[in-house]
Amino acid sequence: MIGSIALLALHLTARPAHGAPALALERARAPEFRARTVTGEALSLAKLLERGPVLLDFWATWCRPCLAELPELEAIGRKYRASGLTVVGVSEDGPRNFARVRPFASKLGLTFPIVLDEDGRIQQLYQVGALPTTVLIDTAGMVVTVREGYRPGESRELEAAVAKLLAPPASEAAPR
Amino acid sequence: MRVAAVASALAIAACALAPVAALAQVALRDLAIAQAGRSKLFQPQNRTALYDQLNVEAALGRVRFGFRYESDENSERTNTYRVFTQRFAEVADEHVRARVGSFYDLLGRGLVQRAFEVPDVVLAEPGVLARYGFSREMDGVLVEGEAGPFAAKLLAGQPGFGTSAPIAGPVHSGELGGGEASVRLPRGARIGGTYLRHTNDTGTRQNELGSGFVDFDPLRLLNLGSASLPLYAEYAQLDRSWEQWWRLTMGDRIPHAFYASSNLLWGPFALAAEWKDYRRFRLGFNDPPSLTREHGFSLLNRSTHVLDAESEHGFQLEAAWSVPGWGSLTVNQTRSDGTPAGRELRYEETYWELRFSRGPEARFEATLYTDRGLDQFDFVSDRDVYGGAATVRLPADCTATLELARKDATGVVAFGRPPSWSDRLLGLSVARARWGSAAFQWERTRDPREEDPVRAVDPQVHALTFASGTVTGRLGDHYNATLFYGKRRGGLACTAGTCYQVEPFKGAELRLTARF
Repeated sequence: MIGSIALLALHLTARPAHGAPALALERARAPEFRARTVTGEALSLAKLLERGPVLLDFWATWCRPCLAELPELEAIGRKYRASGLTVVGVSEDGPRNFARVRPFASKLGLTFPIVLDEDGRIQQLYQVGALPTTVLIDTAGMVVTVREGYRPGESRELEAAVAKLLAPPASEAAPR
Repeated sequence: MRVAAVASALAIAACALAPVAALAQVALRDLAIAQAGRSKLFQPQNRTALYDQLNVEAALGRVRFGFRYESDENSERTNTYRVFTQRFAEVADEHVRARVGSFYDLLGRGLVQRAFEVPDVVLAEPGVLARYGFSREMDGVLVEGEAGPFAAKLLAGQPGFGTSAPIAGPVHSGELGGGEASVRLPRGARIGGTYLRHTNDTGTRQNELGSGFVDFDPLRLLNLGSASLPLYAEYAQLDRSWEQWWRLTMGDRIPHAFYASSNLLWGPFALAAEWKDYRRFRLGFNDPPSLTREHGFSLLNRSTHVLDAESEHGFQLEAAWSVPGWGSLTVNQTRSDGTPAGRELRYEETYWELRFSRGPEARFEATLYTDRGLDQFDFVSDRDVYGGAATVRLPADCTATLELARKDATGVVAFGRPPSWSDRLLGLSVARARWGSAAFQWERTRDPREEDPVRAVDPQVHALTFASGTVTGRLGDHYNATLFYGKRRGGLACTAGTCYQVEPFKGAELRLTARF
């Protein structure tokens, strides 16, 4: 509680440099990680960012909100895949549930890469305390938004953030 | 012991230097739980308690360092603490990672060793009722690296067991040293082995453990691309000679652990199969797969089986068939046989789940399930659980969910008529995107083992009712708050594959998480 109050005070007294209601996490650099997908392919955040923004989703087979969220992320992934977005599912199933991750993903028709966070290192790197947690990372490797938990309809907010990231800069988009 | 001491000193030194590194990027996460109420009969009804867990991490180039600070206070001023429970320093590049201080890791599938935590799960130590974050971290040194197809991991330090509150500081015991080596073969195959040496706390006993594992897909090796059949198998032994190691003995008298799993993915059909055979392998610092399904539904989640690697064998099969645009059917069959104290006992479960969902953002979706089984480990000879949940999308990004469940069980007794009881559950929740949710839950049980001891003299079992309300909200971009009020049922609960005992609670609880 003392920590929370201190953080709240820090938050209320801090003034973002550019005047927007930007917050520390939104300017944080996403920690680099390397992992293998359930199909055995090597995957690294740095490599994925060369292609475009990355949407990390921490989930588990036993997590009921994840069951509702994952198909919506699949839809976002399919829609923006050609524009460079990569959705990566980070399964936080422990050894008890590893064997069920691939069948579970297959059952939901997920086509994006899924990583088994075997020793919980990625979860620790991103300080994930609740499932699902979604982290959107821009091509500069900066965290754009972190969303803990899921309620139906919230993926639209996420999709808007993805679309904004993938939109050409105003100077390029404006007619000459 | 010396390794852990050096690791501690290095990690603390790195943390102490943290403020100097003004350029470091700092991330903070805080979990605070304030309670007003009571868990046990002998506690005052107006007991207040405050648990806090602050995690701070800083990154400076390839170096990271951080700490965890935990505190627990209560109005009785007993068993309180304020202590740094974790600290670490780490340096990593593309091929190598070295870490001193607290770390988590997994060798193989956890048959010989697993250090882990279940984030945001706060337990109360039985008896003293001091709360603590569940963590079984190692305290020592971890070095791991990859070069081409080869990967290796070396570790040394003291394991933590996650069974007690750090009232007198973090609790670690014994000494572990060893590692894992593996090599990747063509077409996704992998083969490897682990070795560990464990010395007990007093230094009077030493054990050696090792395991070998293979991970491959025979269909991929045969270049058959239409289906997928990944196989994983690991065999571990304790205190065996080099010659004995290769015999793969499965007898009752030989301490061993064998685990195998496979998946078959073929179009809309998916099958997962697992097999286990554990004998005298309860080590304290390992965590072999339990092969018991972890359920998201409340009554099923608590009606589960906790693995005892001292003596257990069994299997788990799960098949799923999905029809895009309609939903899926899932069937799970689980069996665990064990002989604790020389008695042959069985846990068995057959689970059917029918899920109806027309796809993302469908207006209506529902799940129906039935689960039939027995749990002789828990003195239950027959158990039926059935229920379901339905969610309706409403205007303005709102949803309403109704959950119903019922459990009927029959107990095991040596003499007389076996007791029968039922549990019933009703849950109703309303959520609005970006705002939060409000939920009401009602649960009633006639389980004689949970009866109020004051009323136990009456031969008739009195029902216990638990009613509660929970409001969850997102407070800006950085805070999440959950307010609980009512009566919470105690007992077994499982999160992320780990089961633990929850203390019953009656009162109000505020849970606040903040992250920056």
